[in-house]
Amino acid sequence: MRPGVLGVAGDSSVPQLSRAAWPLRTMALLIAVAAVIDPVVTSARRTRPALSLVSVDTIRDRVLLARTRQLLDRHYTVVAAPLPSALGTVLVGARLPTSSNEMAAPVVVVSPESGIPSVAIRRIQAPTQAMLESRVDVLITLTTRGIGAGTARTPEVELTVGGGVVVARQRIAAAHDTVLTVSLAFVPSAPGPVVLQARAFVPDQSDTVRSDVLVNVREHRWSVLFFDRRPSWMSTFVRRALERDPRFAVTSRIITSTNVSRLTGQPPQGLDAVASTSPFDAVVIGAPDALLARDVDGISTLLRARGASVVVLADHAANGPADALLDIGGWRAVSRRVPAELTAPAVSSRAREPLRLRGMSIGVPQRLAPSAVPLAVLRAAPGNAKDMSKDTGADEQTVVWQVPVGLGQLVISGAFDAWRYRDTAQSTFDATWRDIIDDAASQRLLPLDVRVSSRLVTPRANVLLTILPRDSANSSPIRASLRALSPAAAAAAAATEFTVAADDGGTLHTARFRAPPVAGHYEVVVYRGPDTVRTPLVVAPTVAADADNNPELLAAWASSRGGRVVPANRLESLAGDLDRVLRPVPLVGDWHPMRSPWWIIPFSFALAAEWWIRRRRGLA
Amino acid sequence: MVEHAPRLRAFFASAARRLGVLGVIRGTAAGVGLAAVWQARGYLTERATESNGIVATGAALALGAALGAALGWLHSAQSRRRVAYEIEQRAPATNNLLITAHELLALPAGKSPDDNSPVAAMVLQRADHLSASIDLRALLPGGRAFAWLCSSVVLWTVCVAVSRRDDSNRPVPSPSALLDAATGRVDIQRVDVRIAPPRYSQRVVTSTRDPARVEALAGSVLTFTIGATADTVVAVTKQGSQTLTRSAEGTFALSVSAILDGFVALEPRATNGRSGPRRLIGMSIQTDEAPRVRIVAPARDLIVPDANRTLDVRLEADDDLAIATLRLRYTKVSGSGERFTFSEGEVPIAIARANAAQWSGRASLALGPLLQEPGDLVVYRAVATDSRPGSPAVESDAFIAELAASGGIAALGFSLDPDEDRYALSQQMVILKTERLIATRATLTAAVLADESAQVASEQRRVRAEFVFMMGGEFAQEVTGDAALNELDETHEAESESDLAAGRMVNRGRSALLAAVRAMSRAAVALGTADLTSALASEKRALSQLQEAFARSRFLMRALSQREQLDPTRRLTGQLDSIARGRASIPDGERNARQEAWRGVLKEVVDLGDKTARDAARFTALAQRVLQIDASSLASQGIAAQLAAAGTVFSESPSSRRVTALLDSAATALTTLQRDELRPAAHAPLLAELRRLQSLLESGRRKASDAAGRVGRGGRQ
Repeated sequence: MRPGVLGVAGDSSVPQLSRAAWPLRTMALLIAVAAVIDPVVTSARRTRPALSLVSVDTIRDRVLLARTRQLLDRHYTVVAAPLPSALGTVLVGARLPTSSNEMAAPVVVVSPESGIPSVAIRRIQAPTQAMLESRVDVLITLTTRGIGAGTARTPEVELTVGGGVVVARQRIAAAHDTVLTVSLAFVPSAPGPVVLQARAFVPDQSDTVRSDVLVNVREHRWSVLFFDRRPSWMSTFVRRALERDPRFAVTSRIITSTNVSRLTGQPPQGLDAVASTSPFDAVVIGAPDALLARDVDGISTLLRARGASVVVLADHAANGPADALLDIGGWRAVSRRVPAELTAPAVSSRAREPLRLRGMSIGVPQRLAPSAVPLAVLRAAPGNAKDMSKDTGADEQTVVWQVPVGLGQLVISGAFDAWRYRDTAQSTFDATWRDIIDDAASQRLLPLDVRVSSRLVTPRANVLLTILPRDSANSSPIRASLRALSPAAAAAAAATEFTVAADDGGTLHTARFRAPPVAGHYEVVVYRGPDTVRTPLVVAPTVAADADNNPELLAAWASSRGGRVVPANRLESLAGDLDRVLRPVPLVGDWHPMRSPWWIIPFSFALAAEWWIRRRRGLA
Repeated sequence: MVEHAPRLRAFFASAARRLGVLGVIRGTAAGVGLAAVWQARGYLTERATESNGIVATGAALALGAALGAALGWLHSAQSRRRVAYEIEQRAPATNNLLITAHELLALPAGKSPDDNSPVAAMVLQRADHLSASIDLRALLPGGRAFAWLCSSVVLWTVCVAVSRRDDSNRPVPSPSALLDAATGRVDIQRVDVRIAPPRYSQRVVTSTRDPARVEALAGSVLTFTIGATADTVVAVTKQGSQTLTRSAEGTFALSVSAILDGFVALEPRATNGRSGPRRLIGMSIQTDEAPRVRIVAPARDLIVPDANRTLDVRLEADDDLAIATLRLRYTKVSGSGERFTFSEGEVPIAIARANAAQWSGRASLALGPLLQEPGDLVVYRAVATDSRPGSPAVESDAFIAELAASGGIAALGFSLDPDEDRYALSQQMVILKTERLIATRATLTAAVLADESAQVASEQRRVRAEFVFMMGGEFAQEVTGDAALNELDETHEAESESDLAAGRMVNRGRSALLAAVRAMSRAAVALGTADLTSALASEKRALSQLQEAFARSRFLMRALSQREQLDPTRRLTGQLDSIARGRASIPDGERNARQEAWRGVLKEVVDLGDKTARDAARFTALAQRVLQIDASSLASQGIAAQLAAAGTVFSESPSSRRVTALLDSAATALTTLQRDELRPAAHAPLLAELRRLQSLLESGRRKASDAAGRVGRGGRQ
């Protein structure tokens, strides 16, 4: 008789080895039964946490990024993108990211800092627009590291036009780690947007850091109105200085007698008339004591509602209807026996060039608004401080100053007889007044304040257009479009119009669009009724943005997100740093133990071994 | 043994002679080769060389050959001494037999212990047999040496042939010219510039080849000799362009007179219209400066109490090239009023020449014959000329020696300071000196006081003379009187009728000046009599009048010429409405053409940053444009040189980094050139939000201020 597979109970012929097969047989059976049942177990377990790894500049920091990822892969599930649900974020780079909304905190920054001498661009500043007949001073703030007295090479900074020809270069005398600002000049040679690139490097020792900035060079002349209710020498000579300068188109009305005026261009009849249209970039008023009440009302409207820039040139200390507007409590005349010198204030953020005016009859305000910005001051002669204002206690008195009035800017001059000393050998009369009025004209508020998130973008970049209308009386809808200026761009794309959405109760309008795919020069045109504002937009294949390199700010930012900065030369300590700042949360959840494919191995083993035993015993 | 020696000795002698001859031949070959190199030096160096004449060519060959032969003979001396080794080296099979024999033969006869040695005899015998079997011609061949000699002679012949001029004065094309001719390329191979300075400068004629810039003394003649594979060469200068044709010598020649800074642009052209790269050469012309001459001592005006003295005058003069003459001239002035008499003369001087450009001299100026009456004066000055033909004489500062006279007036027009500020300051200085003299009066003797007072009076008269001169000089007579300001001398009034008619005398500034001059006269008179108190009062009065005059002078005095054109009868007449309708157009401003030109150049340079837009001709044209704008300044010369060099490098290697470096350098220099002439651009405008915030703050401050005012008024009530 051939025994059955399971043997027969009580049968003496059943081999002893069947006892060895039983456990195997039982194990396989149990595994099969458990698999059918599929039990569920709920437990709290420590899992492999997800960590977000991002970089500010993937190309520049690619080596450091790869090293960091290699290090993190041992302990974490690394996601190479911003992930809000991640346990934390590791940011590789020396600059702040443009947006940190989707970054999970805490954030640990791996800074690509090395021991070799290096230079970084912390900030680059340039005027957004410039006249063709002017020069552009580009201020570049640099941070030097590792450059000691023993360093053979000194850092260099240069300015190029569009990354091509170098137009300015300077060698930096930095003996230690320091922050310094370098001014490099660019002379515009043609109208239109110009991309300037600042480059800094230590020759043969460090990478070149680059940063681009856009300057819109305009051929447009400032439109300036001179309005004198009576002839004034001061106003006359300032006007003549401007008339000789091609940057200004001077319109004037000088009222010499009743119903008799000397006119240049098409000036308005009165300042109340100019307030309604406001076609001038700056309005210069001579002999303010002769103004009429309606003139003062017009100026007030110009300043408060239109955001205009008005320059008042007083030529003697006299009261008049404009006193309330000037808000100085009257003039205090200072007379000198020898011409006194007016210079820029000791601490000045607005002085552009050395300022030197002279005068014997000078007016200083009895009261100066706290928001006033001095432009020219009268310094006490050595040992003659008692001549100065007692209430200020300072050794300088403000003679020419700028004060905000409403949305506009008001410049007031008490240099009554500075015109007498306008010889270039004695003073900077012409240059100073050209600068002051140039500044005032550039401060004029346009009907629409149009801002582009970035005026220099790469193809298909997201661009945010923000529009703040100045004139609430204008209820016309706001429209915006993009127009190509360069031939290549014009050939590739036609003008496109965007949808402008009103936010913030209608005071703010925004539009989002993608930059055109073709590199070139474009302009964003925003219309609202008769008001039109144009803003340049340059689409470039690459945009260098190595600026904003501020280690202190980066450290503060990382600290504010619960992290810290780890230098690249201490990358090995990153894991420890992460362990200290990251707090892994045990994962509580259902566990299906029988769903593991590894069960196949013991199940197959048990069946195979049981069969092998039986076979060996001749039972199979 | 001895009987075997002669043949062997002859063998060694023959071998030594042959070695010597071969050395001479090799040395000669080297010498001829050097002569060939010297012949072709014009092709090997950038510097142009003078042509080689027959004598020079022959002499160079002979010298080279002789020198080489001598050196070759000397060089072979060691080989000749060790002739056996030389043979052993070439025939190793001799197994040192000849060396041993040579050494045995070299021993002095009878002194060797081996003289009768059978071994020595055997060695000499075998060596003798061996020498008979050696063919020296085969062992020491002369073929190679002769080949070298022939090669060097051929090389020399070729160099003579291809040198720029041969006996028939015909040019031989350079290898690059031959290459260009073969490829049909239109190009300039070389430009030789011969700078012939003006003869008077006694400078030597210099030549240069392919310069980027030539510097020459004004008046030089620049001769450009251009070697080009072209049918014509167009030469462009600041004066215009001209087409050069090939001369009989096969070159193109241009002669330019060096007058002003400029450039020469050379463009080769072919008859088929093709043109080659333009070559730009800047010209920097140094002007012959006028000599500088000065009186070293006594370098001041003198008031002498008597004429019995002689002035020891020392002079110095220098020039950039050479001084031609140095003289001391004087003008004797005597008389007074309208009866001044002038006579000129010259004093012999002893000249010491440190070199041609630095002279010094010494002269004795005897005052006795010149100053005969009180008030007479002599004005002396040094006069120098340089060697430039037609150059005007240069005078030093003139100094005065005056015979003291009370109340005298210094003559006008000898020295005037153009600085107007000096007038008031000088009067102030006279006051200061008078005050100091008053303070020290008690310590001085009467004679010293009178002398010092006379010196101050002299200075007062000089200050006064400046103002009299400024006022036209014709007032010199009437201001000496004591008349009041509004009392005019009738005679002089008649003489000044034209001035009165034109309204010049109505000018209050002029009246104040007149009063100041009168006060100065009174002060001078008082100082002449040592009346210091009166003098000081008059001096101060003069100063106050001067200050009053110059407070108005700025506009009133300069408006005099305009005022003549006014017609007072038409004042406040005419149609006022027509005035109101007058409307001027908006001025365009003063465009700076030079600035615009520089801006255009900078734009071109920036455009050349695009590598696809580069062209060698564009670089050269731009360099030329730079020199057209300003050929004189070093900055523009540097920019032009950089652009021209960039063009040259680009034509040779368009991808060279040096092109970019030169372009960057030119752009940087252009920016630097314009930067200081332009005003900086305005700051970025304030944001609208910031303005709104400022507006709110301002209104809040005003409200608070108004409220505080109301509270204050309420409290008082």
